[in-house]
Amino acid sequence: MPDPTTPDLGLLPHFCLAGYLLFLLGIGIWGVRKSRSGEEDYYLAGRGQGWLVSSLTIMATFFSSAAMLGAPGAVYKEGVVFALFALNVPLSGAAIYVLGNRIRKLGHNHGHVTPADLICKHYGSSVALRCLVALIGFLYAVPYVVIQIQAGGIISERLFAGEHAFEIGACLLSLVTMLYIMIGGMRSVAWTDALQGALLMTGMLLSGLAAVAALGGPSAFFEKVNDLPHTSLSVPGTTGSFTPEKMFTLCIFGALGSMIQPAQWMRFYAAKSANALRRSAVIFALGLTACFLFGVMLVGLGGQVLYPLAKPNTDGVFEYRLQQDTNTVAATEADLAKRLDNGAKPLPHPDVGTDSRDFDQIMVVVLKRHLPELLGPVGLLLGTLIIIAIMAAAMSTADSNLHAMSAVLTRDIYGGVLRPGASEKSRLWVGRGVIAAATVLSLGMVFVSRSSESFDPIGMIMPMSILAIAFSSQLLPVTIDVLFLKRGSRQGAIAGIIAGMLVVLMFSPIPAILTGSDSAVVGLFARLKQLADIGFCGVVVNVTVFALVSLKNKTN
Amino acid sequence: MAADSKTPTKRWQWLGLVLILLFALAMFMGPGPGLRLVNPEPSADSEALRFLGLPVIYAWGLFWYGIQATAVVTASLTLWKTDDE
Repeated sequence: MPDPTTPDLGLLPHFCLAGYLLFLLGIGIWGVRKSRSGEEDYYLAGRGQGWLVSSLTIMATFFSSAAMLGAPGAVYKEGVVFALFALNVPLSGAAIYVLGNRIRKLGHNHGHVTPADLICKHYGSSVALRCLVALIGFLYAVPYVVIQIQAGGIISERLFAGEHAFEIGACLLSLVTMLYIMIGGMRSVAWTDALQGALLMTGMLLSGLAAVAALGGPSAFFEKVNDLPHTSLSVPGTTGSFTPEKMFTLCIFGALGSMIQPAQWMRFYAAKSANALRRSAVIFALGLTACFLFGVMLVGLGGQVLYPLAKPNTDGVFEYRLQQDTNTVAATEADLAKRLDNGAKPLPHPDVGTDSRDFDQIMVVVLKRHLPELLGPVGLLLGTLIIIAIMAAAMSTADSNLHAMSAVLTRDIYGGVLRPGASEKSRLWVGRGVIAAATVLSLGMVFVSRSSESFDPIGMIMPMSILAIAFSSQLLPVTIDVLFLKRGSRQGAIAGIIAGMLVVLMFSPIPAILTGSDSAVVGLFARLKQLADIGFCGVVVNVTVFALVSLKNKTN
Repeated sequence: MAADSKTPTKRWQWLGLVLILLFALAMFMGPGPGLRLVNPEPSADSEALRFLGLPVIYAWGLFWYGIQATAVVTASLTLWKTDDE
């Protein structure tokens, strides 16, 4: 639905987006011309990626549309506390070298392509272990691809007027992404990611500058930010969700879980040298954190000033708008926690959205409304470019995950379990088929969710995407054992992963479906979720089981 | 000769340990429980919410980002460089 309160961008977005998509396809075709035949080239670009492409593709894969929409949205909702989530990025940066370089070395020496190749080689080939590692990769990739396609539709809807803007945007994003992965493989994905990563970093910083400029420069910006309600400037934030303990575990396991997911793992294999990963680590840790802290996070803070969540009432006390069931109610800062405990949800400013899920719109609203006001036609162009950068963020995550999913299902399941003797050529064609099928399936889920009121796969997938990183974190104990400790056993690895995944599953909607939403088990895990990251809870159990079973195997 | 070849390795090990501890401290203090040291009380006046004109929580985050960045750059120029092929 076009927003009537924001300026009309005319045909500018059409030209910019068309040019951008054509350029991506051009890179895809260039990737084909540069490629050599074979699985290693299709999945790992011949293991020859230099530091610039490595760093940009790792960054672009790390940041999905969540970085450009979700992060400023979370700061807009919760306040300054969520800006500190950016401090997980340097840890991810360090992991690129500390974990990535060892993975790269082993991959180069033994010809590994997927995470399961390396893990199963270390513990001795096992179908169960291979399937488990592949399942974790699959559980990570699917929600991410679906959400990126949906984000493409939403951005298109915001950019273009027209009844079917969402559908056209989602289809275009999926089709172009699918085409360049299928024809060019890793080389096309990495080069388009490099372009998208550069665009993404520029967009993140420019959006922060836009927010600061909209409030009259840095001094005026922080002066106005300092007048925000107490909950916006302190821990645990507006809804009380981000306690320091939770932030701590979330930063550690969010960072590491994202770095050992299959798409990143394959980028470590694809790096040419240790030097490429060393430089990537530094660029990632310093550059990307800066883009967060001085870029998108400032959009969220500036958003709280431009579109306040709470306004002073006649007594000068800040009052929030909350959604309680179907009603909109007001609550003072002192009553806020009690109201939220009773199931109320905070609402954004009416100009940003009318639903409690509309906080993520703050970035697009600030860009579309304030950049043209500040800079005229140049602002219009910059605003459009940044919105296209958000689409780039969505595409770069979708392409990496589709490509990695193809490798995992083809190498680990089709070639590793179903048809171990399959030729490389047939595996490559199956891989391309997986990409096409996964794209069509994801697109279908997006459309079904949009058109059906009774069946909403996205509604199930959104919580799953939060669980995705937690699932991915369950590979952490095994990875550390394979790369550093080398003391675990195959049975220990399998038992640990299964135990960790079961714990993570307990945080999903499944226990509520099986035992009822007011059962003691559901209540216990809901309380645990308030205290610590889900991935952390799973890893604690995973490590314990892994160590005990390995120890038992050793004594036997 | 053996002592000479051991000395730099030992030095790197110490440096590695120091950097790991420094980074872990930054993770604990920056986004972690260390935040409670600077978190303003609900009754605090507006001055307690800011530091050098910035929201105190944001300034705290920037400081620990500086520490994390220092640790990563130092490791990159020393420990990780020796590991290059």
